Order: sequence, then C-alpha cells, then structure tokens
Amino acid sequence: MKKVIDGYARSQAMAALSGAGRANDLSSQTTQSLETHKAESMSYVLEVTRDMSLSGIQTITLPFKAKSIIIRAVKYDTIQDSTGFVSTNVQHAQYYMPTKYRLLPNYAVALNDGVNIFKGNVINITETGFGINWERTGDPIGTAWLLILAITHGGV
Amino acid sequence: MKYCVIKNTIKVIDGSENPIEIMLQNAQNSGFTENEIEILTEEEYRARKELEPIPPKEPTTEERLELAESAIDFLIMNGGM
Repeated sequence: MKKVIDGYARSQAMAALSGAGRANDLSSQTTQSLETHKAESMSYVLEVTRDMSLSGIQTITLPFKAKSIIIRAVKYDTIQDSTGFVSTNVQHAQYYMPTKYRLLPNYAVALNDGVNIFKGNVINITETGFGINWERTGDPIGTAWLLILAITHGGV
Repeated sequence: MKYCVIKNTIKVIDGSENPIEIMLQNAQNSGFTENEIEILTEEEYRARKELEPIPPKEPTTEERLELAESAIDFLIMNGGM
C-alpha cells in the first residue's frame, strides 16, 4: 500500500534518518576510542634501590601519570619489609617491626628494625613520574629494595 | 638498571631505570655534587658489590636467647649469682 507523504512529513523523515546516521557515526567513533583506550598500557612495574643512610627526594620516572601506586619494600638480606598503597589523596604503609606488624599513615614505605626507621612518602605525582621523600629516624643502614607497581587510567 | 652511587662505594643514591639527568638530580637532592658520584651499570655494580667485605651476620632472636641461657647457666654453675 502506498502512503502519501507530504513535504513536511518528508522533511521530518529525512531529518530523523540524518540523525540516526550521525548517531551511528558517533557510536562508531566511541567504540574506536574505547578500543584504543583499552589497548593502552595502564600499568608499569619497576625496581628501585636506595641506600638507607641517605635522606632526600628520589625522583622515579614513569611513562604516565599514576593514579595509584603499590610499593613493596625490603631491606636487602633481612626480613624487614613494608607494603605501601598510594592513591591521589592518601597513602598508607603496613610494615613489619620485630615482632609485629604496624600501620604508618601518610607514608608509602617504612623499614623498621625496632630502633631505626627508614621511611618514605610519595610526593608530586606528575605526567612523568613521582618522588619519594626519604626520611630517617635513628641511624638506619643497609639497602632498601623496592618493587613498584604504578597504575593509571585514561582521562584526567 | 643503573646505579648512581657515591664514588668508589656501593652506597646507592638511585638504583633504577631513571635517565642520567634524573639520577644526577636525585644525587643533588641528597646533597652530593656531580663530582662525588658515579653511575654504574648492573654488571659494574655487581662486580663492585662482590668485592665488598661481608659484614658479620647479626644473631637471630633464638641465637641470642641461647647465648643468654648459656651465660646464665655459666654464672649459676660458677657461683657468680
């Protein structure tokens, strides 16, 4: 059955079809952007060392701006260790001191032999990396070995 | 991995994959000038580390307890207490 379409109805129909086309284009672009985004590298693992007799800022380079960071730290050749979690607004370290575990807010690394403490807090997370501000309490010595997992995500 | 160390030592200011200019910056942040540090490759660092004398190991808690018990036994047996 033929349907008579007047000029107004025709223009409405054409507009609807044109809108659908644009919607399809946008959907295709979004899908492509999403696929590109999913293919990007979102995490980075690196090893870092630092002598525990030294304080000061140690800058670590990354290929992106990290949104969260996990730092596992050990004092080489001992059982002193710590695990730190860092996000954009908070950081916390959980560490072993003879003979118990403790939490240290506002720091991402804490190596504690029961008397001497070597601790670091993550500062200044940028597009190219971040810094660890090392502080010493008492006279910690030895070498801190860090394994760092940095994670990011697209967008701002 | 590279190691920015205090010259002629194995004291690591920055052991990482950082570019050399960042390592130099990290050395300055710790109070060292360019003349006071050197940057070693992994192989050079390991070779130097092997030459370092190994410090005596600290006794474990169990070993400390055993030593303390032995000392107490010795004092008791010899009338020192």
